[in-house]
Amino acid sequence: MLKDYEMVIGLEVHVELKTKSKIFCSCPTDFGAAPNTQCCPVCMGMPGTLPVLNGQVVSYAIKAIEIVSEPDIRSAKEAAAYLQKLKAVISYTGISDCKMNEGSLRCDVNLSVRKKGDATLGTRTEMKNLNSFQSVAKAIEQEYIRQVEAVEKGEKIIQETRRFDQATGVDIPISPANLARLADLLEEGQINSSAGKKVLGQLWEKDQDPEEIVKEQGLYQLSDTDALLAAVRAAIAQNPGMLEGYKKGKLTMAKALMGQAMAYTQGKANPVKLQELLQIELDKA
Amino acid sequence: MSDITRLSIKELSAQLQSKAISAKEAAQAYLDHIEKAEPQIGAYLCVTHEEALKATEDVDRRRMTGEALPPLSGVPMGIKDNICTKGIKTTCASRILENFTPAYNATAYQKLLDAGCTLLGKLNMDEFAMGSSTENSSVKVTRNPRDTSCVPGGSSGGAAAAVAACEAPFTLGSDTGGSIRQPASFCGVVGMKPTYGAVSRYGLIAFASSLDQIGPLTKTVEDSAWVLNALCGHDPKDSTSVSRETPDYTSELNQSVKGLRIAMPREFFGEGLHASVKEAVEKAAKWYAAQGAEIVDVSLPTLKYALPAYYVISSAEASSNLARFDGIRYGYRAEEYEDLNDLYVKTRSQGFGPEVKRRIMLGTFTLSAGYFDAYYKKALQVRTKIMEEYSNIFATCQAVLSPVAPTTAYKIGEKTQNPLEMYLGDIYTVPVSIAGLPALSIPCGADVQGLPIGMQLTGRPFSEPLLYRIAHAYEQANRHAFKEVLF
Repeated sequence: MLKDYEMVIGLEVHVELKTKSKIFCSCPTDFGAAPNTQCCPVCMGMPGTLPVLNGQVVSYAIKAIEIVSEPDIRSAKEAAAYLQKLKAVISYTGISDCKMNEGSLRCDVNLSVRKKGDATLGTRTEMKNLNSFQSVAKAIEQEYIRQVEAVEKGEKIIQETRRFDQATGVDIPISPANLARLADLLEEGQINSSAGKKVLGQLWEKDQDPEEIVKEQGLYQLSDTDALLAAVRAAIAQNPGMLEGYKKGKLTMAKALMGQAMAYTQGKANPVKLQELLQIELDKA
Repeated sequence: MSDITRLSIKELSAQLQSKAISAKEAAQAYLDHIEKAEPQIGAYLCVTHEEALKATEDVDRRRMTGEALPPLSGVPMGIKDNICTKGIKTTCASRILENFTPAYNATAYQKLLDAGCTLLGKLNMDEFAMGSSTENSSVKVTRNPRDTSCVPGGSSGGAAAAVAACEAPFTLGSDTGGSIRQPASFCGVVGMKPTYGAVSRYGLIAFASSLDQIGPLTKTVEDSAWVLNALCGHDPKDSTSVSRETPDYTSELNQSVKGLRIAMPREFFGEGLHASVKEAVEKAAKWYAAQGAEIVDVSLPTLKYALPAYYVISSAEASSNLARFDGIRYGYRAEEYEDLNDLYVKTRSQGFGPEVKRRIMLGTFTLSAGYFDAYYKKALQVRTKIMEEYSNIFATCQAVLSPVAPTTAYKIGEKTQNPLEMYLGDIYTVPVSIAGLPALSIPCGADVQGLPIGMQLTGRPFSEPLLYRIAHAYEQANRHAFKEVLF
């Protein structure tokens, strides 16, 4: 069956140029440095600062380059050979270190299948998160088989972005419908943002109806006034020191109490409502 | 008033170098005088007593060891509040930056610190340098030291008033469309807007980046040259700062004006110009002619389009530059908001004053799809045309003589209800800004009330030494007395 089909591949290669500093200031760009150690007033956009284009970047013209191939590649082997050649050329010029595991060379694969001899292109999918040549080859093989099987079964290929999981080697998409449903749940106020993050994480693992996750795990936002008030009162009662500090003018204590109250609801409270109730209680106290 | 605060920089520097007075005594004299004068003037937004006195200790100690110090060592100064001073609040006289303390120094300020100057404090201004009377400050009104019922001009009104009231021997202002020159004219002091690119803009909180330039306000022309000597030079942190050798700005001061060709574009002397101003500038022209300079009648026909073009270009740039004030990383944040968008809207609605909002809206409109070509692109074409017309004049003449503003200082509150009328006051200064040229404002007379009149000398790019020569010659031969408020 597979021999009746051919794969059509186009590669997008992103190469980050090896500049010692950022594009608009002289901050270093070392990979893996501690957070907040490579910034300055300029890259923070502080008032009065001016961007100065990195001299090195000017000589390379830009900070990152994208090399897009035509849909000319027909096998995982060809794709790997193309990438190896490209990497050799770029490394040799010295403009980038081309380390896929550090992200200085990244590759997205666009792939579709069609019957051999067909002139028209099939619907393509895009695969991201590929950080070695091996995973590029593996992802191509798997996606090819998945698409051929789908076509054979009469299913339609949906144009979508799929993420390749390095550990399991399988790629999982989040369907647009499920993603939209998640956005709705947030918009409608059924869940709060921390629940939203939780659900999104689980959708990556398994594409399913987000509402089911919310139901199963009881992530619905808590808006019941009595329940919220109970949490607020518990937080205040358990933390007399914070209340004392607040009364003495340490306004940050209100935030600390908010955090405590939120914890009592396992992070499920409607934050706006909780804040209101807390303020009322604090004003009374 | 202490004699020390009456001195020019040159005189003060001589006393400091001869150890007749110490830097600490100089700073103290100013601090004392500021305390006395401020209730009437209101030039300063904050006075940095402790920092000023502490900074002088180092200067005095080094001077005692016999170390040769730069000429400005121990000379106090005031800085407009849109120039970043590390550890000292820099507010742009705006609510949105009312609690902003920069973590770094503007290059211009740093250069003066390196030259040994002492900071007395930060000066009032129109919010974000948008305005011509300092009445747009969100903090307070600054009064003209020549007549406290009048505005000091703007937007560097605090900077001009401080020098005129002897509350600083010199100050730094910023000029986008006349904001150094016009208040200098209203207060009767010397204001220099250097060539675009001569002074680093790093650390100057941007209004319109293609026009903004920092410059000094001083009592005398020579003082201005002294400050510029310390201020200019290439800065790698500002890509528009020009890489060229910095001349000695005092080098031509004592040369004669004989044989120079000074142009007077007739469009600068037309409708709207107050008779007393016209008369004073023409009298100055006669004086130059008597010294052997040639006064040349020329034309700058596009002048009438300069003002609209300026307001389109500067507002467009402002709308982009001020987008960063969103309440997230620094500055004022609205206390109550529903979501992120609401936070932006409330923060900006509450944080910006009416004139700033007007210009943000104007700028956003002229840059929007469908209007870009009709307004912004057209304004850039006017800009090119004006540059060409100046260039034609400078092919045969060395300088342009004109008024700085159509009137002398007006009453506080007189023009606040009509922004357009306020904008018209910038008519003679904006063409120079649009063309990026250097221009100097010096007193050339007084009106019947004794309020100062200023004249503007504009030159070719980087011809500041020549402008100083022309201005210095006039200043040495012509003294003008102004009405003065006594403290």
